[in-house]
Amino acid sequence: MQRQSLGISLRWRVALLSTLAFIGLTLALTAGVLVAFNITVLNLRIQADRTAHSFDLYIQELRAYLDGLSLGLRRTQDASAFVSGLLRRFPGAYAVQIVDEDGLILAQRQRVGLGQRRRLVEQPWLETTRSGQTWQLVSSSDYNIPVLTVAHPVFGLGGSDVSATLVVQLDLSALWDDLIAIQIGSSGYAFLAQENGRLLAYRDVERLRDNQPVQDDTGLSPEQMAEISQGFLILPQMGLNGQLALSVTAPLSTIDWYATVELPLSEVLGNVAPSLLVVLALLLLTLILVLAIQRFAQRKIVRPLVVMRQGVERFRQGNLETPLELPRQEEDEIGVLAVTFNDMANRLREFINTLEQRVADRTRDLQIAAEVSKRVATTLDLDELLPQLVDSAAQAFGYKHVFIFLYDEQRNTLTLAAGNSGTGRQLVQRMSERNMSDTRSVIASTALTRKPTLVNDTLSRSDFMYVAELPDTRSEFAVPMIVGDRFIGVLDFQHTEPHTFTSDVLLVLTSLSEQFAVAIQNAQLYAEQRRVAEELRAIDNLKSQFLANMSHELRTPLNAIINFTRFVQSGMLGPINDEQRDALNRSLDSSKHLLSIINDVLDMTKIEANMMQLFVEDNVSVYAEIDAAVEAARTYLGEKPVDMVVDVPDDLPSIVADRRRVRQILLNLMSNAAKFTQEGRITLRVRQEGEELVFSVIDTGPGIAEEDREAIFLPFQQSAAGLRHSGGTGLGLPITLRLVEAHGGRLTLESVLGQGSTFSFTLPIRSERLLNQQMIKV
Amino acid sequence: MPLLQGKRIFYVEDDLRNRAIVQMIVEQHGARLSFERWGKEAVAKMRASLPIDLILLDIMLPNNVNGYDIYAQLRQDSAFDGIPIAIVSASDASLEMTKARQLGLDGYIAKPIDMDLFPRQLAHLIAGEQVWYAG
Repeated sequence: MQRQSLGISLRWRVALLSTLAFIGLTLALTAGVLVAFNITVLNLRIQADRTAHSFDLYIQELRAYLDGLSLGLRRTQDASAFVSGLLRRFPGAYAVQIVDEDGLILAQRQRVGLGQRRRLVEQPWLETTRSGQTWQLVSSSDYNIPVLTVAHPVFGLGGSDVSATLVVQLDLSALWDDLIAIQIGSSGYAFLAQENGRLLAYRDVERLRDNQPVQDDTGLSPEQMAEISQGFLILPQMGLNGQLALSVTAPLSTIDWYATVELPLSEVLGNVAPSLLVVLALLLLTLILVLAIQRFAQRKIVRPLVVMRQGVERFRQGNLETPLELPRQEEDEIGVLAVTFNDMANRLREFINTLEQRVADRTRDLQIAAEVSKRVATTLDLDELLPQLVDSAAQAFGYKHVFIFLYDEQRNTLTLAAGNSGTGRQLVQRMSERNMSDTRSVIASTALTRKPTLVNDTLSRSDFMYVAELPDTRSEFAVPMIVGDRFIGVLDFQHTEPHTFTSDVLLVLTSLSEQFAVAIQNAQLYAEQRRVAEELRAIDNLKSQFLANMSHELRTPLNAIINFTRFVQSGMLGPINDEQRDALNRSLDSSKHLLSIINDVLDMTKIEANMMQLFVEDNVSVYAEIDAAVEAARTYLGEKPVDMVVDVPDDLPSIVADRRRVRQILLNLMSNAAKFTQEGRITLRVRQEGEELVFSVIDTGPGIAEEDREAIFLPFQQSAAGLRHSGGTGLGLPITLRLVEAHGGRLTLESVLGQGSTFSFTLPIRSERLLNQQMIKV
Repeated sequence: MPLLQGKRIFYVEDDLRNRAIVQMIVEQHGARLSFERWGKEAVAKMRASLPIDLILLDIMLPNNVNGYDIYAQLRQDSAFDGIPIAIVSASDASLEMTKARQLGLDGYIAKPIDMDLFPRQLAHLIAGEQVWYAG
């Protein structure tokens, strides 16, 4: 979309408007001029008409007069006297002649220098008058001014039958006066001219004497004459006075003359000028007005709008600092708009600044809250934590007092647990439990409702409970500390100024209270856990003490029994016979059996108490343990028809293990096999498979029923076969299983009832786990 | 030549039967055994008995004294530097042996002792080797 400049569009409109106004005014002007012109022309026509008419009258009067004279001539005897008298009475006459039909001058008188002539021949009027008509001629060469010669027939001169012609030469100057009297405008004039252009009457006598035609050419064109005969001829032309003039010509009806009035164009225009001036003035005024309006609009509307548009553009780009600056401060709508706009920008800026300030404040508060929380989150000791919480909250946010009340669920009481500053600490020591039901108390009502309580101004709350030690508290905010569904207590903030808790601050404090609640709960839980752990540890100590005692108390006598017996048996203390030796051997066997039972029971007890540990050594050779186990098994087998096959390669690696426990595992499995196998074969096979050694003890014993295969690994249980077999605690396999697993190995059993059993177990060759934590709990 | 010929061994043990057994075995192998029963005066007595080739300690002693305490005192006394020290105890080996090794003792011999093995175990200890015997 193309942007339409308001200024340009306004200018176009103004131009269009001015053009229209101009055209309108021009039309009006033209009309005015035409009207004025027509009035002038009409006026001139009237003048021309009147002039022509007055000459017509003159000519008619002249004829009438000549008729009268001709009548008088018929009666007179003395023509000369008549002529003289006529000349006297006719001041305009230059000369008077009476001529007979033959041209013989009968009488003549003249004023100035006419030659004495006796006969006039070939005068044009002779013939004319003979036929009884009046003839007239204007201007003769005899005079240097136009002269009107009138020939009038006279019948019966002096009573005779002689017809003569009265010829009067008239000076036309008498007409001049009449002409001059005609006033045409201020500078207009009239003149009388003949058809041929001969000027007959004009105010300028000199001009008449020139005998120049009215126009440079020979007169009016036939067309012009025709037009004149129709009425008027109106044309602008070079006037007689040498100026351009508007000329109006009217014909005379009595004679072929015409009267012309001429008004110089300057005066014509002078007549038109006033209206022209008025119109021009109007036009100018309109133009000025339009321009003024345009300029006004430009200045008052367009330019401010441009400025405003730029301002808005600036605002849009985020520059709120530079206000709109109109060229002039106006109080019109645009001025008000600009002021409003600036106001809006200012407020927006202020709002943004305030917002930024608020965001900054809030961010700072949250950072402080986070700092405080982080600091306290690491403290799990409740006695240490609570003072830290109140101190850091008071310090960070500038509160005079911060208190923590803890809720005792069982007793349904609140206890002041911590307060900042000396006063707070004293209160903690002095104040005991707080009654939960006193709703006037900010703390109690917060605890009851589990909702924050805000007192903006303590003075405005008549029921505010002042604490004597805290007289300067003016605003207070108490937040419940809740984790999940658990109400931990109340966090209380007090300030010495009213209205210090803005909504932003409340949000931060509420968030802080949540974190405090979590920290307090963690500490409480930790304390509880620690208490439980200590109890458990005490129990464990008791257990291990018991075990140690048991072991000690059982083994110490066994040590004496076994060793003294051996002393005797070995002959160290004196010679013995075979029967005695045999008895001592039985005693030793029983002792060792008892020892093994003691060991098993203690082992199982340790396993159950989760106190079994492996004594891990590196580089444990399995050969010695295998030999020991095979030897023990052989002992068990005695005379039974059972082959012992030891299938062990020579290149087994040494392993990381508890040497004694490896032997114990092998001994257990081998002795079990030996115990239960009545005939056939017992095979001990050891293989290295990858990172493991796989030990298999394969017997051709009775096998283990499917339903017994789990039970035999449970402590104090034996299979039916096991029970039938004398001896055994039933602890061997469970202990074996645990020991294998403690080494990171697996124990598996395959068995076919009636055919035999295969117990296999794996031991990792090099268990980093065992090496790294050489004390392995089983 | 007897295995422990001329060796001087100091044994802290409250049980007279056990003491007799050990004495019988080591003397049969040529060693001389000194005793301390109550533990409290053990270190002083041992100092008086120097030179010593091997110290054997019981764990459970009367009057709230145990073998580890005596071991700790000995370790703080430079007079006993280089003398091997081992535990001979009827306590549960699987619990105590690990502890003994962690404390830096040179060996642990569980009761009941084996009269055949015992002199060899002591010889190993005197030779500077570690002995861990849980029975």
